[in-house]
Amino acid sequence: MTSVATTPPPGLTTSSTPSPAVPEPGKDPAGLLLVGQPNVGKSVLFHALTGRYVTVSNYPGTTVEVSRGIAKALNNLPVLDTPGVISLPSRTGDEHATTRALLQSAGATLLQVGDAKNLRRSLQLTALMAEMGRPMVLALNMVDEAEARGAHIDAEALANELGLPVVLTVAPRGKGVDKLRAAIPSASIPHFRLEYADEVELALDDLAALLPPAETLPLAPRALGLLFLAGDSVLEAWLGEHLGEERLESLRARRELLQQSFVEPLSAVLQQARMGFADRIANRVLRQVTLSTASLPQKIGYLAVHPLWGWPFLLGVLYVLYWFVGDFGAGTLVGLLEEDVFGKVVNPWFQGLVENHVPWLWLKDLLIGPYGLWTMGMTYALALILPIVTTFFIAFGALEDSGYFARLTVITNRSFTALGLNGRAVLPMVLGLGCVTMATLTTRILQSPRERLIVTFLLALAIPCSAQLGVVMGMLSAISLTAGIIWGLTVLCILITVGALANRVIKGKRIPLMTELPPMRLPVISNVLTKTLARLKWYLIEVIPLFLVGSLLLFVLDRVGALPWLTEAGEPLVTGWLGLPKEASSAFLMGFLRRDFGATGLFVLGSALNPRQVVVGIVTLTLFIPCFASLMMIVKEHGKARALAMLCLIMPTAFFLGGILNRILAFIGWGA
Amino acid sequence: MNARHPNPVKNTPPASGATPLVSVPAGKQVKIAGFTPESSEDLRERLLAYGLIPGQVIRVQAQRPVTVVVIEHTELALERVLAQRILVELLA
Repeated sequence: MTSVATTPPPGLTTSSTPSPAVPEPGKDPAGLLLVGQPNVGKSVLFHALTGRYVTVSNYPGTTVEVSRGIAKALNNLPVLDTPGVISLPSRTGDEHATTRALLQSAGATLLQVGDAKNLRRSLQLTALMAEMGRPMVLALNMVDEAEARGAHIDAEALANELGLPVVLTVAPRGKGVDKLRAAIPSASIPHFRLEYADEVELALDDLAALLPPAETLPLAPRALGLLFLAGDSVLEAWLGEHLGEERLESLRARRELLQQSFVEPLSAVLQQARMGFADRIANRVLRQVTLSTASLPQKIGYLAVHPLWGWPFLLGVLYVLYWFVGDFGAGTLVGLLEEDVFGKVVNPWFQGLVENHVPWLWLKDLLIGPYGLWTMGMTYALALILPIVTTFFIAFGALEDSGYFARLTVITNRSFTALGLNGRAVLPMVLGLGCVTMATLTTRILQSPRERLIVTFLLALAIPCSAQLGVVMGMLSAISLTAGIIWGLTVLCILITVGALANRVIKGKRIPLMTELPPMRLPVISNVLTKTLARLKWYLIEVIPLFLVGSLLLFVLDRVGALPWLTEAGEPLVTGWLGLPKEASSAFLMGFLRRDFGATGLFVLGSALNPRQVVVGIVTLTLFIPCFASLMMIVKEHGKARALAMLCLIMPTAFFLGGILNRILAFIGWGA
Repeated sequence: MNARHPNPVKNTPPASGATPLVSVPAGKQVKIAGFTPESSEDLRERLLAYGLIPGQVIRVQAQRPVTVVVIEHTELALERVLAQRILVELLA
């Protein structure tokens, strides 16, 4: 079975002879295809049907690729989850993946997941899906939220109107999932037909005559015609491959002829016809009770985007976040693990074990020496970093699930204007405070390559990850609040200035914000935990090996006597320009491997540094090159050339600005 | 199942008296009248997909920091430049 997500547009990989699309034997045999608008709960239902976990969040656009699973309870039926489509034709990359999945899964049953509280919008898509000539079931999800808003749906009446089974579900609680399982195997091709304007109907007949026989097509000719008229580019590429350019040209000519009958673009004409239909049906099956007051979650949602109260609200959220991650995670938990568990129990035991059983001095050194794999690598990773990222991921997951993030995009939207971004950029930026590598991957939720490039660069330059933040906070709090403020303001100023510059330099237009605000709700604990575990697993696989590689490299450098030499070599820059003791060179060296590792290296110098040196050192390290893992991620997402360019910009910038800060602080006479 | 679309929309010039959504005070109910000529095809389509179709009644929930409208039970946030391109009629 070929992977839908990674396959180039269909047709590009198949044989070059333009032949009608005969469904290849063995290729996606009658399976189940989940389709629907963003944020309606497709992924939660996918999980309920297959038991396979995909990232689920109360945030539109989380599924970026097609995921596959097997529904054991349905006789091992293959199930595909597709990215949300606001409507078809597909416009964006993830929507294209959905069209592609539709074209490639000939014979599969369609399961449209709709939002019960937005019945008209869901039905507008149903009107198109139901004409695809596939067996189909409609699941209206989030019925509980609809009913909380006074919207009651008569599922039976709706099923009769549409001629297909309709199941009401509350996916996170498993409500309706059994009914859905029962409805899927017996689903048949709906007898549904929406009559469009006469001109459109004539054009559809003409198009059908130009297409190969219906039984050789993956979708009904009428549905293909409708998608083609609306201008779906994936379908067009597919038709070009399967029909040849000549016939595609005659199809295009027919479409242009039709367009002349309308002022509005054809896609809008078709959309309006479907919306009109959806409205009529909804009026018949929907009973709306007017509720006099907004519910508490709704009121909280209003408050979160209020132009005035939204800001204190954000501060409150940040305070709770700081308390949970900074105080509880980085303070209490780290103290407990580092001092009590590792300091008093694990490390003495391990050291004893090594002392008694390892005869070779070099191996003892490698394991438990000052740069030892255990004493430096594992202890830092498990006792210092792990509690901090765990608490961060829990907090992040809870915020995500609550629906607050979409509101945060609204509140922060204006602040991002100067950087050529819109509020959506806040999500990867905040996630970067947890793990920059993961955040770099998450820039995929942004709409344009330009936005992705700017955010990736800012993440690499000026967003400290939680591992680094933990150490930084520890060092700064040991000095004074002023030190923390100098560090914070410096990094923030640099973030804004560099972002504004990048906005000027990188060509393209800023995209204005348009986003759905999902309902606020209490985070579901199981959702948050599953998400946290998935993120932690990913993080441990990325991080632990790099910690060990870092320790090993330093051990080798120390052994061969290169460390003192490198320290000397770095002296002009580190001592002359930054005003730090030459031993700090090794901290920067470690910073190559992980930024937080570098900060810890500085931490070790401790009392040998005066406050100014600490602040200058930490600012430089914060700006310093991204960790090795995130560098690899930049290469993967943006290519080698851009990653190298970023590196060449960031390294001198970090040292240059660090030195400037040193001089400014010296000039005002702070911290000597 | 047959459903006949009653009135094929050939041309929907915005009715006179239509105002841009951005100038409607928060709390008002409005009816979508159309889109300004400078709105792109892509934008129109997305707005239509969210249910902002001519004739649909929506509620304006907020105008700052961005325009927030409620369509059925969806809250949709739109930046001012986008809200300027949507023409609406005020309902009493």
